[in-house]
Amino acid sequence: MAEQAKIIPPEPDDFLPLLLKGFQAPDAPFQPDGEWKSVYRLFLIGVLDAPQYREWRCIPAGALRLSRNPRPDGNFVLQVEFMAHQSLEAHARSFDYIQAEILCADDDASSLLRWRRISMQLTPKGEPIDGTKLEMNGEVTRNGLVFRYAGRERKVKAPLPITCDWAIFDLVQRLSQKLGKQLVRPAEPKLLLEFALLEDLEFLRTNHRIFASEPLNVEVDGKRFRWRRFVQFGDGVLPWAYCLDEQHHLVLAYSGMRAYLYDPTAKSAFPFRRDEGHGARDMGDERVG
Amino acid sequence: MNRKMSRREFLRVGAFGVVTAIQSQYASVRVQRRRQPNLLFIHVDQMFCDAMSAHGCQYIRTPNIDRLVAQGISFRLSYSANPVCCPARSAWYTGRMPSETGVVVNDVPIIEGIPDLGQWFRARGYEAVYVGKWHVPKRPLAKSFTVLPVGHFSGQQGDGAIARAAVNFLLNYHSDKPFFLSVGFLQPHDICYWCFAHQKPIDKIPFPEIADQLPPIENLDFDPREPETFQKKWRRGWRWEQFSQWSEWQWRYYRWSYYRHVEMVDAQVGRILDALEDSGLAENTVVIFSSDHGDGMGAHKLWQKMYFYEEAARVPFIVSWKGHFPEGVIDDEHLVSGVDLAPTLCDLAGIEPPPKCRGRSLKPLLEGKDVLWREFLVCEVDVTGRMVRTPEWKLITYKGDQTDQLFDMRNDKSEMRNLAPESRYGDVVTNLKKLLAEWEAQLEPAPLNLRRR
Repeated sequence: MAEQAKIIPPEPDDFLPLLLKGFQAPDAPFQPDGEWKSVYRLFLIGVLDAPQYREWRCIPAGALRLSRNPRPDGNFVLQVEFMAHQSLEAHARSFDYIQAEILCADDDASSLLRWRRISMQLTPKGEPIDGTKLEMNGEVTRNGLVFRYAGRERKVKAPLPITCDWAIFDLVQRLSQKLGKQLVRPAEPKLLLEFALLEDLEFLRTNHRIFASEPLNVEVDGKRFRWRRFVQFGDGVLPWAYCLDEQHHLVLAYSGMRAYLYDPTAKSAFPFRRDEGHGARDMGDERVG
Repeated sequence: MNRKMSRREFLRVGAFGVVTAIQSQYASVRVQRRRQPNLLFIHVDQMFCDAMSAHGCQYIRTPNIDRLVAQGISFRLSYSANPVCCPARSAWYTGRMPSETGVVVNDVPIIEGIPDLGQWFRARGYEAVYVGKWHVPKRPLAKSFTVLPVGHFSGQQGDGAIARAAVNFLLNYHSDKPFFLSVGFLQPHDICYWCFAHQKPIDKIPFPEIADQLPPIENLDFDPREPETFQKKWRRGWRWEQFSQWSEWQWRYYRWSYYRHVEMVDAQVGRILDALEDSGLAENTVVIFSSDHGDGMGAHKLWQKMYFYEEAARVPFIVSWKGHFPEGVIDDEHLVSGVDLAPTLCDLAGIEPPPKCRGRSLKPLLEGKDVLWREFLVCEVDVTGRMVRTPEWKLITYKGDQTDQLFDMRNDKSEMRNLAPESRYGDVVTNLKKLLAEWEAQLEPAPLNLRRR
């Protein structure tokens, strides 16, 4: 068993030593604006509170697999596979499962252009539950968003640019690459990016901003890391922190009760066993880009 | 009914900079042969009634809940029957007071023999469907409803899936039977876990980026003349040694975070409203939105719920039915209770209410009729705590406790001055206690041995 990470963050970051136990940092060369694949394990983090003690808990609660494929025009396709444990009392043991293929613009916000998303619930054995599959396609227009699903079309006015939570994993890496080694934590908070957020490619949240924050110094198993950190604020989210290594690879993202930690072994969490490739390949012949 | 503003006026002045405007093109509008309406009950967990921009809060953006207000009637004098999860839900789903259902605290069962709304509607021709948080212990949900199996004790983990399941249900509903769909979101309940994680007093704000956005708390202070029963639990009890040391900005940071939790679920409520419109079922579906209880939000230096201050006890209660009910109405006049849900749903469906319902159907109010309405309501906490609320007054009393609280709710909405100890209000207290005694005399309390775990 690996040693507990040494870190003295302010509350509420006290969960980090527990979360980072046994963390394996990525060591392969990484090019943020190139082709890459990353897998993260989703944890639920929280405090078990009782009169005599308090104890942090970090519970594995799902996985996220992303792959980025640049196109000749500079735009890129982001493929997403996401699974979150559902467990509410005795009646709700299942998985929330999403596959998506997103065409993003080669801009600072990794702006959404168009996408396809399939969502469904899975049984505890990973089998689709009848009647839960929903395909939802969308695109961004000059006026906002257009959703198409179940034979319907819905137009939603929204400010541009619009990105999604999964594309933020891409944009912070390219933002870090762009900033290079320059000090990004000025005396006063410096706004780096503004956008609207389409969470899960479904829930619109406006007024989002990304700032540079203090670096995070971490020691895991005797290895020291100094991670660049960005923070995101906006409607409908608690502050998100994004931590990146010196290769600008996102290794940790956390907000409220959720944390995504880089972990290639998390791919085994997905029910559709594929050692290679991506679940989104099963979305059909039609491609978004 | 106090008609505050028209829908058009509300949309113009009340949406507080909402940037989304929705257009929808229906593939088709489904024609339903039946006459009973579908019932869509969307409930959230731990939302204070005024934690929405439609009710004037400038520190939160809730465009979707606002949309529901714009399309319906929002009752602002709406109170939880008991501002704790399980008791409040037992009242919703039975129409009985928690002291009667036996669920006076969390995690005790409804006593046998009291029907719940799933059973009631199912037996009367409705498709009763449930998704999300139930939290009515020992009452197997699947025996009362058809269950869509998603959700999580963390709203951040489960609420998106709950919305997707509800959307799928609405888009694929093709039965001629009317449905009663109950959607139970977890948020903003995750604020409880946030408080656990942030309870240590800290001497600087963790995020200078939001320093100028922290909402003010006008009633951060409190009148110390509080019942001993209350003080024991909240001023000397759970984590008070930590919370009592919080600075004003730390309380305000808590409220800022709370508002973000409400916004989380707002977007998911919006998806369900979208799907309802897109399904073609909206014109035959009544939508009701409420919360089991509120949250302290830092008012009077309190967090959580389980007490009677407004932030914990007053909850949203919004009803919308396109083409049938007035739109854009904010009602500040009529007292509404969680026990009104069951008789209201039954009345709208044209079926008799479950036996011994203690609430009243809101249907006459929803239809704009000028009816004689209740003069007071009662709210419970645990075994002995009771609140009596009239349009003018709020009395809080705990059986066996020497100290009461009396607030003038017209002139002291923030509940900053306890008038009960002042002799000139003795008659008011006496009269309110008389109302309480009359109310309690009609109840059939569950045997005490069934109330405990």
